[in-house]
Amino acid sequence: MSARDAERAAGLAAALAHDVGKYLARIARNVPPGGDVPPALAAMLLADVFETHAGRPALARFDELAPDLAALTHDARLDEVRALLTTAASHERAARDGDPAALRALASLALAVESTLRALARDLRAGARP
Amino acid sequence: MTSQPRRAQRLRRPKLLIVDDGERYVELAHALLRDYDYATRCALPGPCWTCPERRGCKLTHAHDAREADEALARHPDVDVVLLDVAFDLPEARLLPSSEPDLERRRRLQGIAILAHLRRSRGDLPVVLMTSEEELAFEDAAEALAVDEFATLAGEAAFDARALSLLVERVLARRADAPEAGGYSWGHTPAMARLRRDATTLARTSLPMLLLGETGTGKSALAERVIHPATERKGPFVAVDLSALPETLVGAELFGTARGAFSGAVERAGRFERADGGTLLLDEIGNLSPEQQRMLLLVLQDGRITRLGESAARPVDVKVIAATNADLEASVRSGTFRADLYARLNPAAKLRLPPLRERIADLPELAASFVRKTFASGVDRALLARYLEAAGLDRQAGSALASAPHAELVIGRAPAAPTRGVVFVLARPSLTALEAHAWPGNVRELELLLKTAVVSALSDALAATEGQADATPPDSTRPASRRATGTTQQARIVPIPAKLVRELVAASWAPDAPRPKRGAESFEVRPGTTAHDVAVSLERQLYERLYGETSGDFEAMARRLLLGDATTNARRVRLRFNQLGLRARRKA
Repeated sequence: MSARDAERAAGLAAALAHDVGKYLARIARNVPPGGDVPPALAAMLLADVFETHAGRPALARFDELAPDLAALTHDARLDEVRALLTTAASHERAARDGDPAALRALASLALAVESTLRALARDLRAGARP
Repeated sequence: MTSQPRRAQRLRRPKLLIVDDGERYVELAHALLRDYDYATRCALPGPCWTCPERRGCKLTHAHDAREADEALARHPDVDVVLLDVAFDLPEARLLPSSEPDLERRRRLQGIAILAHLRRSRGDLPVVLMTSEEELAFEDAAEALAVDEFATLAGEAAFDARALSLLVERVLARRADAPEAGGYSWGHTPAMARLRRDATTLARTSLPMLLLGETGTGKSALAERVIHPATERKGPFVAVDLSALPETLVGAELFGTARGAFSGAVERAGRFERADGGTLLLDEIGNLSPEQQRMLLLVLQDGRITRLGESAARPVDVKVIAATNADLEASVRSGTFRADLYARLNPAAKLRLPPLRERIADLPELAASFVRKTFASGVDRALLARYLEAAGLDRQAGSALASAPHAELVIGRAPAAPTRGVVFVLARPSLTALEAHAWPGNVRELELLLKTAVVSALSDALAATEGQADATPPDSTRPASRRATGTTQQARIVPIPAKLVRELVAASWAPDAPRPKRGAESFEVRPGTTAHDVAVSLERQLYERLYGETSGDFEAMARRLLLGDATTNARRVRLRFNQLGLRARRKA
C-alpha cells in the first residue's frame, strides 16, 4: 500500500472508530459487567445501536464507510464487525420489547464492535506513520 | 484519601457544566451521576431528571461557546466543566478562527472553547471528554498538554464511573490547593486549624465570632468559606457597622414600618434580607447599648421587630460577628454587654492570625494574589495587551499559550516559560517583604503586590511598544510581530527590587495597630555581665522569629543573615540550639 493509501486507510478507520464504535459503546460501557441493563439506560442503548446516525442504525453508517476501507486493505476485522452488527440487528425486536437477555447481548456486542474498531484504527494509524 | 470520605466531608454538591453539541452524555450523566448539581440554562429548579419538561429539553447544558458563557453567567459557582472536543455545528455557531478547513474547525472546536474559557475564567477546571485516538488524529495533544486543568481521559472518558473519578480528582486537587474556595489559606498550622474550625462551625446553627486585626481576611472568610459551608439556601448579607451612623443602625438591621419616624417607609432590614442565609455583622464592637439589646433578642428568640412595629417576625439567619477590637476588654469595661458576648459563642471564637505570624505563607499568598490580579478586569486586559504587543498572542502550536495568564516565581527566572507571563521576584525583594511589619496584613500585601506587578507590566508594555514604534516602517510584518526579536524572553517580567523597596517603605496603614518589632519591645533583663543581657535579648529575638516564621529556619536565616539562606539556615539552627531554645514539633 502506498503512503497515501495508508494515510487514507487510517483516516477511514478513525472515522469508523468514531462514528460507529464510539457512539455505539457510550451507553454499553456503563452497563454493569455481566448484569442487566438498568431501565434508565435501556432506551439510550437502543438509540445508540439503532438510531444514532440521524435515526439510522450503526450498521448503516458502517456500510457507508467500510467498503472504501476494504478496497484499500483486506482486514478480517471488518467482516467480524459486520457480523457483530448483524447479530445486534437480530436482537432489535426482543430488545425493544424489554427482553433482559437481548439487552445484555446488545451491550456486549456494542462493546465488542467498539474495541475491534478501536484496535483496527490504532493498527492502521501505526502503519501509516512514516 | 479516597473519594468517598472526601464526598462525605464535602460541604455542598459540586456543580458540573457540560458543553457538548449532542444530548447523549448529558442524559448519561443525569442517569448515572446524580451526586452532582448541573449548571443548566433553565430557570426551573432542578434536578433535570425529576423535571416534567425534561423530554426534548435543550436547556440542560451548553451546546456551543455562546451557550457555555450563558450558563456560566447564570451559574458562576460551577466547579468543573465537562467539555467535548468535536462539535458538529453550523459554521455560525463555531468560534471565530483563522483555520480555513471547516471540518477541522468542528473537530477542534472543543480546543477553541477551552482557550475561550481560559481567557474569561482562567481558574475553571475543565475535563475534556475525548478519546486518545481522537487527539492523535487531530494533533491536538500538544495544545492540551500545556493546560494544567485539562485531563486526558482516554477511552474511559465515556464511562460515567470513570468520569466521576476524574471529576473527584479535579475537585480534590482544588480542595487541597492553597486557594481553596477562593480563600488564600497558606500552609501554616494556625491557618490549617482555622480552616478546620471554620468549616466545622459553619455547619452548626451557632453564631460565629471572628477576631483579627484589620486586613486579615475576616469578611472574605465569612463570605467565601463559611457561608458556602453552611449549605444554606438564602443569601449572604454583610453589614459594616462602623460605616453606619449610630442612628441608622437599628433601621438598617431590623427594618422599619411606615411612619416609624419622620420619612420612614415599609422596609426590610438586613436580618430579613438574610433570612435563610448568613448575616455578617462586621465591627460588632461598634454597636450602641440599645442596639446590643436588640441584637441579643434576635439571637435569643430568632425573631426581629421592625422599628415602629410591635409584632415580631421570625428569621432564620446564621449570624457571624467580626471585629478587630478586644471584645473581652470591652465587656470588662462595660461597653459591650456580657450576655451578648456570651451569645456570640466566644468559646469557639475564631482568631485570624496577622500576616506577621504566618510570614511563612507570604510566598504562597504572593503567587495567589498575582494570579488573582490578572484573572479578570482591566488588569487582565492590560496583560492581554502586553501579550499582543510582544507577539505572544498568536504563537503556533498552542492556543492556550496565548491566553492571558500570569504566574509569580521567586528567585531565578525559568529558562523557557511556555504560557502567559512569569513575574520574577528577586530573593532580596522577598526578604524585604518578609521583614516588613504588615500592619495592614493580607490586604496590604495584596495591594502592594498588585501595584508592583501592574507597574512592572506597564513598564514592560511601554518598552515593547516603544521598540515597535522605533522599527523601520518598511517592515512587512505586523507591528505586534516587529515588537520582539526574542519572543520567549518577553514572557519573563522582572519586578524591580527598587520598586519593591519603595512600595514597602511607603506602605503604612495609619489606623492599624503598630506591631512591636523594634528592640524596645524586648524585655531587658539585668544580668551579671553585658554578655548575659545580650544573650537574653538574642534569645528573645530568636524566639520571636521562630514564632513568626512558624519554625522555618530558612525564613529566619533570610531575615537575620545576608547570603545563601539554605547555608545560613544551618547556622541559625545551631545558634538557636546554643541559646537553649528547642524546636517545637510542627502540628
